[in-house]
Amino acid sequence: MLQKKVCMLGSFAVGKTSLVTRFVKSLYSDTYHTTIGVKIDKKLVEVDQQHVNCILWDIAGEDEFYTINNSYLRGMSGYILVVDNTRKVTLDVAKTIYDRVEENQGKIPCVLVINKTDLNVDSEISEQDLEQFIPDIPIIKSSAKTGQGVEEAFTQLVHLMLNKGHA
Amino acid sequence: MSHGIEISDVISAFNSVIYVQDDNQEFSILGPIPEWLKGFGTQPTDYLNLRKSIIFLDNFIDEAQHLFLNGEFTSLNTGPWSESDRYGNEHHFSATAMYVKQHLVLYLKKAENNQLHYQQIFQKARTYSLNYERLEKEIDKKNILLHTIVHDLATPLTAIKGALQIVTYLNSSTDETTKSQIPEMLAIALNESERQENLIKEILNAFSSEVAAFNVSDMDYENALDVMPNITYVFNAFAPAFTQQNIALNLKSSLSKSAVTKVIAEKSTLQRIIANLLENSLRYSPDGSTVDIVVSEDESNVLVSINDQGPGIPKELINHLFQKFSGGEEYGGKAGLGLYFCRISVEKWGGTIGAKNNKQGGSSFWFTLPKISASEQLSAGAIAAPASNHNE
Repeated sequence: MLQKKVCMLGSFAVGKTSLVTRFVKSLYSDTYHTTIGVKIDKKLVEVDQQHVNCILWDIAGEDEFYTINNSYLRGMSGYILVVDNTRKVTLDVAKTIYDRVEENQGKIPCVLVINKTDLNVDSEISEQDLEQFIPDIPIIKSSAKTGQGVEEAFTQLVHLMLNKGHA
Repeated sequence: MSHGIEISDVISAFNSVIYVQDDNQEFSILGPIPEWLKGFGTQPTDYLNLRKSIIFLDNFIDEAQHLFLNGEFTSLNTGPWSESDRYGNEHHFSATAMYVKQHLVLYLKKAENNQLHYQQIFQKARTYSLNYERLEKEIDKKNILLHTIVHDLATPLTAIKGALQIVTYLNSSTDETTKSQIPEMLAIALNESERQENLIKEILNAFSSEVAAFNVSDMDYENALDVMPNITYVFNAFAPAFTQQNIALNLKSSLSKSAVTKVIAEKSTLQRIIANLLENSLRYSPDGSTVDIVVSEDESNVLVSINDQGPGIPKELINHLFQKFSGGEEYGGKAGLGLYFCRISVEKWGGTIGAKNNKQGGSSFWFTLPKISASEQLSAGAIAAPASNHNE
């Protein structure tokens, strides 16, 4: 069976852990628990008639004092860049991370996830902002709370990884 | 001195595991094997194989070997991480790699309270950081509110000034027919004065409920608005100012005259949006040009577009027009909040807003608002009499 390392990257408190928990365990909690270092989970998915064992590396979010350790990204097949729909600054962080990954690891399949869309009233990210993000990266709007877009985000990334898409 | 303590007792007491790499690059466990380790890996015996049991370490060993071969480290720490065993129990770890007599040795430590303590501190720091972000946003919102107030108070003045300038001109005429238009112009000026007065009342209300008044998203179907009368109202208010600057202002609508086209919006804010866009077009339109307000609809949305024949939008600004403080003195000489206000209001009502340069010259500023279906209007009891006079 194929095994692929998938990293969850983004600023802190954007919902990376919630997305993984929703995807792996179909659970959600409103309480914010910050991730320390890395949290590893597994999920078997079937995409394009192939079974893929996804090893999910949920990496602690970046802030002004903490930058992702590059060694955590070693050997990853793809990554999900997570942004908080209600905090535009997290889109800037995502762009910085994307540039750094590309510089250190080259082009790797990636999906941009705009999380917390259930809080659309407080949305700070416009369509214009997204158009200005990196072209050709699939953008998926999600809510770990409602489950909207979660499966789609991971499935799309696996699809890209299988097809070695460099979106 | 005898103490009877074996090294294996110490390793066990520290809830740790020590792996040593042999000449064949395989890892074996030095000392006792803790019970918790046996839960890792997909098969019951996987715990004996480091690379099959602890996923994080499989990655870490490669990193450590890579760095060691480059002479970049003597010991390397993992930092904290957590991983679940095959029974779903989550374990917290940290590890250190070092080379001892040319062999990679890995010290795996199962974290207990110290990691939880570390997490609590980290958690508090990030919670404070989030709160700080929220407070900054609140301050930002209040600043926007303040700037919008000033902007909004200034907007009716444009119409009042235009109407009064026309009155001055009409009054200087000796022709009675010309003079007879004065009351109409005065009525417009009076209307705008009243609009300004209402704005001041709104502002006072806004202050009393602070930012809540700025969040206009909680609209319901009963408060749905008929689009056309509101556009017509602003059109009439601005017409004198356009006439004064020798700019033709037209209102073109393809909306059905037999039905009311309702959208979720708040009346004064919708009028303010249209006024902001018209004011922009007035500022940039050259003498003798035309500005068209075009209102159309599709199955689900109403589209309002304001098309001018001005110089167009500078390329460097076109993607930032609707962001806060986007214009500044370089574009418009205003604080750059008007279009930002338009965007956040339209988006809160579920609509979209944008601007583009037209091929034939000039620019178009447009926004859409979702229409309320007849059934939604019925369910809210919100069907009103059709608008009688769409000014086209």
